[in-house]
Amino acid sequence: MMIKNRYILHLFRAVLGGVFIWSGILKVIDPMGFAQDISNYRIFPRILVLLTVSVLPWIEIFSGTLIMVRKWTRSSTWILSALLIFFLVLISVTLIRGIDINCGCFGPLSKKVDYTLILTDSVLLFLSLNLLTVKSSRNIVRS
Amino acid sequence: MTKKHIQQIVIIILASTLVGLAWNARSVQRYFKGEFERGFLSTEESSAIIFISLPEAESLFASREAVFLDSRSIGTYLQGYIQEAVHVPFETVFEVTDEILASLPHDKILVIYCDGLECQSSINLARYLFQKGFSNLKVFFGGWMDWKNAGLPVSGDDD
Repeated sequence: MMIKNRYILHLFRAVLGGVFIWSGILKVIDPMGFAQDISNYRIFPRILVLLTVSVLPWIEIFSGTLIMVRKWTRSSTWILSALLIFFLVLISVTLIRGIDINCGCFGPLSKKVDYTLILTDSVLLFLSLNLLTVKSSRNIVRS
Repeated sequence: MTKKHIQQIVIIILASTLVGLAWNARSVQRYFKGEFERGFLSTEESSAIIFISLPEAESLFASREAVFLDSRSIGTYLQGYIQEAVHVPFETVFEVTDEILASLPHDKILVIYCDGLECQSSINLARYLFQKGFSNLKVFFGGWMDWKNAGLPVSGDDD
């Protein structure tokens, strides 16, 4: 079921972009806290943790902003969709392993890894995949 | 996805990498100095949270200068813990209640430990206590395994 109403698509872009900008800024503010949160997953080597901490928040901020201002929308949506799929896999693996940790998703405001996080990510993934399947928002405006 | 999109994605990732590494330049330097080998701490946290090894933990225990905090789950704690260690579980986040915080002394060294080298809860608890105003924190990274293997005083079911 894909939604094509352009007003709803505007809303989707605002929500998706907003969430990622917000989450990126929170991580940029507290890089060491975010690094410790990623270390807690006990999967990533330290150098990769540092790289993720440095780069990921800015990918989120840039992609989120581009989606909101509707420049390079499709490319940014691809990036955020890929990130969301990665987060979903990571959260699922963590739940299966049964480790009880802070997700790190929203920097200092992060919550525990649990099933509601899967729901949140799935909703965001639905928004982004929906945006990807719409041919081109400008064509819809014309038609 | 067309070639144009792939180019744009690469540009976004490259820009993020450049800005991110520039933004975190100090942390990158600290990484290469080996400062993050045990955990990621900010410079302020690093001044308050010190990593100690078994001999230091042992001497703090012997001189009674420190209170030991065990950050493992209740199940593992009850099986055996460093003698007189206070149980402050931090396997799950947001577990430390105000009563527990109020019961911890500010005028003594707090030595925090968990299982051993692989566990992260001791350092997580140390960061949390630092945020709550404790500034004399030591993380005993060898933890329960080192202590027990050295045959030092313990309490619990393993007695």
